[in-house]
Amino acid sequence: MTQLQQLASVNMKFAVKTLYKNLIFLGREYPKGEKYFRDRCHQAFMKNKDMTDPEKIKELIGRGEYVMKELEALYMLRKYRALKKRYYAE
Amino acid sequence: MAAVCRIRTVLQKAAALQRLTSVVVKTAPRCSSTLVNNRPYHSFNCIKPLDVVRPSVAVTCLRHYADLPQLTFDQIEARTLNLLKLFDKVDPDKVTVSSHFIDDMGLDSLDVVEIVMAIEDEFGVEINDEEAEKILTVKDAIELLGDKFDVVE
Repeated sequence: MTQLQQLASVNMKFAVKTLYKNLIFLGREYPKGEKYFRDRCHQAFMKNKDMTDPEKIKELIGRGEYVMKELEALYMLRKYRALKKRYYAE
Repeated sequence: MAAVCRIRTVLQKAAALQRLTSVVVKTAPRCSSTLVNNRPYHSFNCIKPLDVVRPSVAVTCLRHYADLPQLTFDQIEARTLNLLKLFDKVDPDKVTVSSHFIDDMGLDSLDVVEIVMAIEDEFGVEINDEEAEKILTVKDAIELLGDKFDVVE
């Protein structure tokens, strides 16, 4: 493994850890509970723990970021619904 | 109508008085020939300039806001161990200062990320990636926090 490759893999490791951190942070507000989300997230990360191909890892990180955006959208929608409920009786 | 007129005159007087006092404070040197608002200054001489209270002793401001007393290693250790024992994956009996997160406590690297997050929350500090990478045992974490809070033994 050349030095450049090593550096790339270290950066990749940080990227994965940061993604995990961000996901866990977002998951604190998850409707089904923090633990539920955390367990799922942990499982999903562990499923791909043996991945070594950088391209593949990049793709997976991309998927993780997509999940983050979905979570944000979910919270936004929840907020919108809560606000709407205060104005209109259902 | 009369009431409105009275209110107006009262307001005018108040405004005039306000103007006047501010002028008097500003123009401290007494000089009878000075014209203030097109009237000779001496016509206001009955009004003394306001006394400004000046403290003779310099008041030093010592405010600490919500500053906490200096942390000690014992406190950091106790809080860190307490935090680890609350983790549901961790066996509370196995947690000691020298225990290794991965080898002794049976955690994986992702759990370590969570532990670092918990430490950040507990102590209100930010731990960057390079620092987080070096935290492998409870002792490492305590030493890093000691560095962050400038704790000396």
